[in-house]
Amino acid sequence: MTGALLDIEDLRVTFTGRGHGREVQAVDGVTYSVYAGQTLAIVGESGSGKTVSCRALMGLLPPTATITGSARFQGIQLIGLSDDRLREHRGANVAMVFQDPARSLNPTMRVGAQIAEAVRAHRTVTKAQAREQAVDLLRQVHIPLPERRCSEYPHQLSGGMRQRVMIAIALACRPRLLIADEATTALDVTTQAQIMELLLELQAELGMALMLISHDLGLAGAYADEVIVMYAGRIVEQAPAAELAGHVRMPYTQALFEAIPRLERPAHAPLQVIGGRPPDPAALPQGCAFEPRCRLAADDCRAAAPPLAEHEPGHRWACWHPQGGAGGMGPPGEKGSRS
Amino acid sequence: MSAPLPELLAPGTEPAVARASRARGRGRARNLRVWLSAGFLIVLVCACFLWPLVYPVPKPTGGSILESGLPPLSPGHIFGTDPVGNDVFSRILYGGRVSFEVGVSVTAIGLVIGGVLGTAAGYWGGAVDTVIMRVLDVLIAFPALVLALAIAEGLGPSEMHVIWALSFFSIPAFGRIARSATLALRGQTFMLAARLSGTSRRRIILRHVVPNIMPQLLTFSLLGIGVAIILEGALSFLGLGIPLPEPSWGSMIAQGQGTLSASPELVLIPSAFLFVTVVALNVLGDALRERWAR
Amino acid sequence: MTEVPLLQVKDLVHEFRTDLGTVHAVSGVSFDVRAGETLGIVGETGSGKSTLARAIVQAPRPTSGSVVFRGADLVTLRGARLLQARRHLQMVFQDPFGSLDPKWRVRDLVEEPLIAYKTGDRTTRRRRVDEVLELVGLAGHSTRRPRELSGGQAQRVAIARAVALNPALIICDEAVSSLDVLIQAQVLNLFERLRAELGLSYLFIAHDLALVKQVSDRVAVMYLGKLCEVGPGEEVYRQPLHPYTRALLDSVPGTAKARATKTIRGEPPSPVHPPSGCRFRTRCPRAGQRCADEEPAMRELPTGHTAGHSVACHFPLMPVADTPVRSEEKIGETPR
Repeated sequence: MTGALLDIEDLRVTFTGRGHGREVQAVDGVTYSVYAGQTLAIVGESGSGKTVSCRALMGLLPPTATITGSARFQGIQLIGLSDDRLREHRGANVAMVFQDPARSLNPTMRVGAQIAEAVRAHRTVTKAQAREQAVDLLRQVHIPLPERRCSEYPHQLSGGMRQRVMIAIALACRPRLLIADEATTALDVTTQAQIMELLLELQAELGMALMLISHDLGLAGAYADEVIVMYAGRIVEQAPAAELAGHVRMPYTQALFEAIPRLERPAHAPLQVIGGRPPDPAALPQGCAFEPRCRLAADDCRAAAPPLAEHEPGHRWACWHPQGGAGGMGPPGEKGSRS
Repeated sequence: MSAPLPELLAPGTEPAVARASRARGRGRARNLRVWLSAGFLIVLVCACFLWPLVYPVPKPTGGSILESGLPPLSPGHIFGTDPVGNDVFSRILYGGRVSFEVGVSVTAIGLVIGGVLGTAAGYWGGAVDTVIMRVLDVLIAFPALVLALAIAEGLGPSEMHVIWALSFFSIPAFGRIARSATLALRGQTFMLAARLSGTSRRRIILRHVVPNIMPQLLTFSLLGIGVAIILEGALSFLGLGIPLPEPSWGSMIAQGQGTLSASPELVLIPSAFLFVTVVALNVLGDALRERWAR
Repeated sequence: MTEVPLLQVKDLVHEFRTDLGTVHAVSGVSFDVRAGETLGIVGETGSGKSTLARAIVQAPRPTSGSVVFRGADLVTLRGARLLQARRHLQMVFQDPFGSLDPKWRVRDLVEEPLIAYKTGDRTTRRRRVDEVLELVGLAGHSTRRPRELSGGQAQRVAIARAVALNPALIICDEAVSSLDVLIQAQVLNLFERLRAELGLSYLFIAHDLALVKQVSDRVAVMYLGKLCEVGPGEEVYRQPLHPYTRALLDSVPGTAKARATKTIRGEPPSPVHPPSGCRFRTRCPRAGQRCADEEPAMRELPTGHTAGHSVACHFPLMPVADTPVRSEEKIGETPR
């Protein structure tokens, strides 16, 4: 597929353990593409495989993971790459920002030193140059008084600031793709808004592609161009954000929309919930993984897993009995409007 | 039973189910360690205490000079005899009794006294904590060897005195462990929830604190028995512990030094028993710690 | 209708000393919770909302102020009397597993408050435990331990424990924030059902506005130890009066993407050194000189819709008839 920055095809990740035969299928055949300058959101609950699939791209999974399939970054196959090549690729091409900045930053190292370390990992510059670039990067992420901040330790910064530092580290070598793995989950809503705006601004400035991994469908809908919904290791629906907001097809996506409390709803209105839990990834069913919880399920759903296909232009889903075209959050443009 | 999928938002690199699955595999290996080491220790303890009662064994002291210096696997003396004519096997058994008696007593004293003091210090904090910790500090400041020497000189060496001397170590050690475990527990939300449920302080300590710090204390106990046994061995080796001619693994090693080239087994056999016992205690302690830390 | 509120918090202050200085976690908070209503408190990190919750239940006792629950001021009570007064006040915490003793079984956890308050004999208590577990949908799980439960189930055990004594008020301190969205919805529905069936009142504390609005009748917004705005949920969301409330609303994804940086800027100040006067002034686009000099008092403003909407601000976003407010308007700004 031409033009895509990142092409994932039938990515599968299995975890095996010693001493027993059980295999855990964390990612069960995922196919999608990311284009330069695009913002793609991958949404799912815990256990959906969204985090595992992205860490597979970065080579950050433990040795118990078996990765198959294809993940091409600008033509280079990432699966099976040697450690050295992966290290070059990490940071230079693809960078990642994680959820908990308190744990992702080294508490015993000054902030400036950590950014400089990232810079020197991929470019041959002197210590002084790296330090200068660190200050520049802090300025780019809108941290006030960047020279002073460089000599501070992570615990002296607030959560939002630490996350900005993480972003600065991620940007150190101008990656083509930035993956934000639940990067704003642990932040306050006002800080989250600031960080999201920063990411979009940087994306425009640097021409990066941005992948948002989140459990928050609202966040995805608001900030992404394209949204992928994952369940039990598979993609169940994919569409442009605006389209998804108005025309949800997969009953699971619909359930996610309905379960989120929204400002527009009146107080005490009962939330539509579905019972049950996602399937055990060590024992995925043959048919549709969502079938036991689906209100539209029928016999053919148990027999075979529906394939992901583009049933409407730009809108893919994997369902034998998709619901009609309405639902979701309502047509775009009406979000948040108040009389 | 498949591991439940937690719906908590805690993204990690490996799905929780995979971790749980792998943990179960490790669990089986761990069970093996627990059973093997526990089994070995039980057999050894039973042998030391019960064998002479059910099966006639030559006395450990007062051997006949006619039978001195016999090598291992001699008829009637499976481990041979020492230069004075005592049966080594019998001395190993009786010496083992001493080791276990001292090891368990010292640990039990530490666990009970140190455990209670440490838990009180950790739970109440403030002045209670300060006072108790200073008392424990005083105990720990005594150099054990000097103390043992002083006691042995002043009161004469005996098993009881060894236990007293070593308790000076074990009480503060358990005290510290109990205190830090209790402190860690105090910050837990379920402690606050228990208070809000109306539970009395006394009941909280008995039903919430103790069951939760017990695993750590018990693990430490097993390792502590090993340490105490070694210390008793050292003290007896130096002549400050069990007085001759009563057997102790430590004093047997000391005695055997004299005839090391001629009969190395007199040193090697008690050393081997000491070593294997302590290793078994450590393996058991580690394995139980892993299992209880789940 | 002058009905005595179930809970009356007045001028509650809680401060504590750390190595960095005195943390002014809660600095004079007053509000009421009426019987049968749910009051939601929205606040971000550092707002002091969790400290507030703990101060209300006297764990630890607040520095000053009064907490009158069912006619008795909890701050003045000690020992057995505090125990009795607190019987009808329970709490559900954020971490479902953290609030359950891992060594205990579900039925013992739920029975604990019944034992503490000596309600009946063992048979009666056991029956009540089964009853309550049935109520939260966990019948049959009574012999399990917390590690055998999922997050949602564990939280339901905590709720069962809270409900066992038939309390009047339950404080929910971020009670659903750690749960996955579908499970969160289930637990929220459970809260609503219990509210209807048992006539409970809630003090619902969270950082998610939509969540708070979903479950609350009235909403209070908290910032750095003080309340900014209190009013009926719909009112506060449709016509926010305080600039911070406005900023919170603008930050919700999907509402007004690009406006967030115009309605709030910078980082939250430290609760050790809160700004003088109005604590929000360092981040407020409408701040004026008066904001630095004088702390705004909570005033009830006539909104024309319903009474009971108050705000603590010198330059509130006062609505005029039905025209929407433009937040770029600044009233009486003087250079700082």
